[in-house]
Amino acid sequence: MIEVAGLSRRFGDRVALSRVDLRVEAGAVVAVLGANGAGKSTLVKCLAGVLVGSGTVRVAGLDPWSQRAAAALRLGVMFAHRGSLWPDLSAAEGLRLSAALYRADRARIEVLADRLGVADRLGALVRTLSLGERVRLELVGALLHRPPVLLFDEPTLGLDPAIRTVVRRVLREAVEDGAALLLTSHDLGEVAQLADRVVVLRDGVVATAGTLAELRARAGGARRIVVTAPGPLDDAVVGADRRLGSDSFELAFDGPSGPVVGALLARLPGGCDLAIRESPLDEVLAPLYSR
Amino acid sequence: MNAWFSLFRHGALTRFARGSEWFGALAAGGLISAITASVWHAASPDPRVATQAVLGWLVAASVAGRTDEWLATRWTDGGLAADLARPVSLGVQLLLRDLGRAATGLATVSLPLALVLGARPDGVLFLPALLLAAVCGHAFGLLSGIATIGLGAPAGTTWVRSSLLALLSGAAVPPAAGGPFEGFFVYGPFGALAGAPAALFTGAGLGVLGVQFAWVLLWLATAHAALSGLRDRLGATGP
Repeated sequence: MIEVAGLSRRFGDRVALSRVDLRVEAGAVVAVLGANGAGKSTLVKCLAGVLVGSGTVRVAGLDPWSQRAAAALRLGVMFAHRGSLWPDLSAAEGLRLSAALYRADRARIEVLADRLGVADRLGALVRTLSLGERVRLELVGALLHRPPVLLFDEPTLGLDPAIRTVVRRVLREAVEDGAALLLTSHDLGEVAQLADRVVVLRDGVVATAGTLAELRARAGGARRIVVTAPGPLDDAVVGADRRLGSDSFELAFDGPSGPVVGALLARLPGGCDLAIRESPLDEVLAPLYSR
Repeated sequence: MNAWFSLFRHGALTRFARGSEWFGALAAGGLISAITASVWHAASPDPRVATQAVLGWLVAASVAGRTDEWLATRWTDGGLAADLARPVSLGVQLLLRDLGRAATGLATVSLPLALVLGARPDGVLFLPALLLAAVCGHAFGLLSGIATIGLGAPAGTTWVRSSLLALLSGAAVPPAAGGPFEGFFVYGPFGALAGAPAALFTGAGLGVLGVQFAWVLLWLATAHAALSGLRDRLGATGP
């Protein structure tokens, strides 16, 4: 479990985090979102004991600042593209070192590597691995000691869709086994699939938090109606709504669709097709990053 | 203990992870120390001089870690965050890795080359001095790395470090040929890297070990205190 209360951190005059509160229960996933520089990586570093801030932080019941070594044994950490495997040695060598440092069973290396589809790359030098192979092997290292708390900073950054799916599946399994997962990501599709709750950081402050459904509702325009006409539509018909093409437009709305559709039908020519869908998550949440 | 041994083993493995490093250590090490020994042998009738020239240079070369390069690179690309998140402190990680690197170099390159080139030990007191040399090499590599980061990771710090230490440690000038500087090369603050083991190899007494033990402790404590002071900066940088 992760508990954070009033976490603040400055770099000189710049406030990186200010009075951040959050909580991740065992078996739950919280995604931390925000623009670049919003404080996401600093938050992960503070939770991992890499940086010290002010306030109260507990990971798996321990203070990562004053009980750093003990807390580290209960953490699985992965920093985006910044590997812990040594480039001049084989992946297996690096993972055996991780197993020794984290008092893990070496046999787990083979098991996890197999599940992530990289067992055949264990003998390769780390510097010769592709990004996808390296990230999956880093993931093996992070999960090796069955940590109860997982901190993942943009774990799927730059990976192809197939590998993202594998990484998400393994993370989901770890959470189902009881781990608390905090991840940062810019991939909102990934967030929608993994996260139980979302925290949006803006300039180091929690701008909003809740489930995705709650955030959609708070942001407004959670659903859209896409109108496609049999022929070109006049500007008068489209009005202030967003034109998609000469014969189509969309409008965002909240609440029950009946009244909106009713009003729409009254102004549309005959033969139009109406499709109701959820608004894309990035369009809903992006305003929260900078509002 | 298993974790500590694993870090030591990793250091040992990384020393020769690239084949070129084997080749360079054996070929260049043998060639340079042979030439150095010949030059000093011609310059001085003292039989200790040529032996110290071989051993001092080879020891200094083997225990010179590349911690400064490594720290600067990992600091620049943000990878140090992963090292700082481990359950073993960064200082201990670096120390054990450097000892592993030094042990491999000393056992497989320095001592065999020294014996091949005709250096014969006068007693075994130099053996514990090799451990002091390795710890000292680690401390200077770490201090150099900290200076590199403090100066904004400029290129060339490694060269400055190795040149200065070669000059001050007795690696370039054998203590027996050092005239008024002999005491400095053997008992001075940099002597553990080359001058002291070379002097012990040629018969110096136990007092040298005691003095160098004190210097090495001081350097080690200084380097690790400096690393602790820099910890926040090390963890903060990164993309």
